[in-house]
Amino acid sequence: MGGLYALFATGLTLIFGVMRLVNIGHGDLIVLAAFLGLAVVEATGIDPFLSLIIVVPVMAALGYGLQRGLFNLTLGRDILPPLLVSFGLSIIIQNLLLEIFSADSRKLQVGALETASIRLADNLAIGVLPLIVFLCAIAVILGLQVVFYRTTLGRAFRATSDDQQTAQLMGIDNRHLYGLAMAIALGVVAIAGIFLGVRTNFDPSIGPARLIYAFEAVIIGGLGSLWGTLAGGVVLGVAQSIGAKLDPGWQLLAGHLAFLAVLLIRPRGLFPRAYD
Amino acid sequence: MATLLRLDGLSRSFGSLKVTDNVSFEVAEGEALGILGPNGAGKSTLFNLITGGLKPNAGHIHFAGREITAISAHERSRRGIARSYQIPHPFGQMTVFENLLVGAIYAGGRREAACYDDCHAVLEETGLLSKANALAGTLTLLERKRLELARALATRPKLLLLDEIAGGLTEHECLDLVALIRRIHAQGTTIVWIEHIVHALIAVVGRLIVIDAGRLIAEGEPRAVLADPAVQEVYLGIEAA
Repeated sequence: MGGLYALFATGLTLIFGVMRLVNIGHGDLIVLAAFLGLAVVEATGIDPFLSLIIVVPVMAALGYGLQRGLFNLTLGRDILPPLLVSFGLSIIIQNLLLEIFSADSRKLQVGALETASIRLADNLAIGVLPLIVFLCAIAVILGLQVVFYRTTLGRAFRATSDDQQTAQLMGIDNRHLYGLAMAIALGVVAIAGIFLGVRTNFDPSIGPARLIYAFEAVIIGGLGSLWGTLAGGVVLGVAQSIGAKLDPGWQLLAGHLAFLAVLLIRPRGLFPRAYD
Repeated sequence: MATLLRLDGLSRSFGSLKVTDNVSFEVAEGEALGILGPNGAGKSTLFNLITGGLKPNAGHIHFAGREITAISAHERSRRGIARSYQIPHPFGQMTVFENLLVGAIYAGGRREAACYDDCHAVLEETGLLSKANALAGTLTLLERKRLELARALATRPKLLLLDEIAGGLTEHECLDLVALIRRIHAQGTTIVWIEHIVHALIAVVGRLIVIDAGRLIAEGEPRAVLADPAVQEVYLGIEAA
């Protein structure tokens, strides 16, 4: 589960990192992407992984539109308006999904891959699907690292994140840049949504719980650090698995306890940025 | 000489406080203009109005023959307006070289590879070459001030606004800075400089304006302006304190 949680959290950390926006609707956007994948799969009959070709650009375009048409209008000195607007967005998405897809629990089917595993030792095997998710999470984070630290666009993201006003004086159009950041974030959300749909059952109401996992992974890892987010996802996933082994009812509790333990011992997360 | 910047009846209030009150002046292409005024006179607000960080309540701003009153800050920087801040605002998590690249690419409207030589030259000119790969957040005050200037220069500005860039420097550092600003001016960049350190200012500028309580109270040749009784009343009080 660690890789999946890291993917959940990456979009969140990206949005917060660039524009200091806490997106309460993040979990519901993940679920929206899963349903979008479901719709594409049902309409065309293609493999859920192939549906990414459609879902990622659609979510990215939606992200750019949302940012330019909605979130940019709320950003300012006050942190409350964007929080409230994204909370509203969360409720709108949930109800929209409920209206269109009903409250039934759904799943994306990938056939034999779901149960396939690689045997490492006599009593140790890893599932192929979790492995794919984990490798994908690493690839996404690696890709984002390259974008952030090796490209012109990434430099503009970092400059704007550091000091938005001065960045504007350097000729950076922050409204457009925020749109791009949200587009990238929702592209990652699309990947997370499809993997969520493949790994577990989903219905329109599970978004807020995904948001909590994403928040926990972000905070365990340290705000603003992409590799930290991966580590946070892994810590959360491993804690939940160990909890589930002890007693099925302990799964979620163990994850939350791990989160609280990190907060107590390392309040700034495992890999905080050097300074703010 | 052609007019580069023209302010017409510019006003800006914060609540009932008029910070900029019906200010009009022109800056010619290639000129170096100094702005004096006591703390709180509205000098920095004037810069914010020119760069687009603030919008005026009344009045117009023209730059290079076109009205820019309503256009955004990033668009103004692309047209050739750059500034340095009184308190340096480097992008602390980025290297010095990257700090310059951002402006060179976005404000200069050029491709990344085309900017390397240019940024290198600016770093050499401003004496920051040895720090090119240092994180900007680790620089000393003097280096940060130089970075402010270097970053503004990297955007290839037509108009360079300097906000108290000599403040807090030692006499020797100040002289170095004055020499650097003179070189930049000699290369054709128009300069508007707000400064309390009068001897540094008049070593560079050919014309002076004085602002008090948001209003322009004097304008002209530096020595004549400094000898003006109204200016002495407002300004020498500050000098003595």
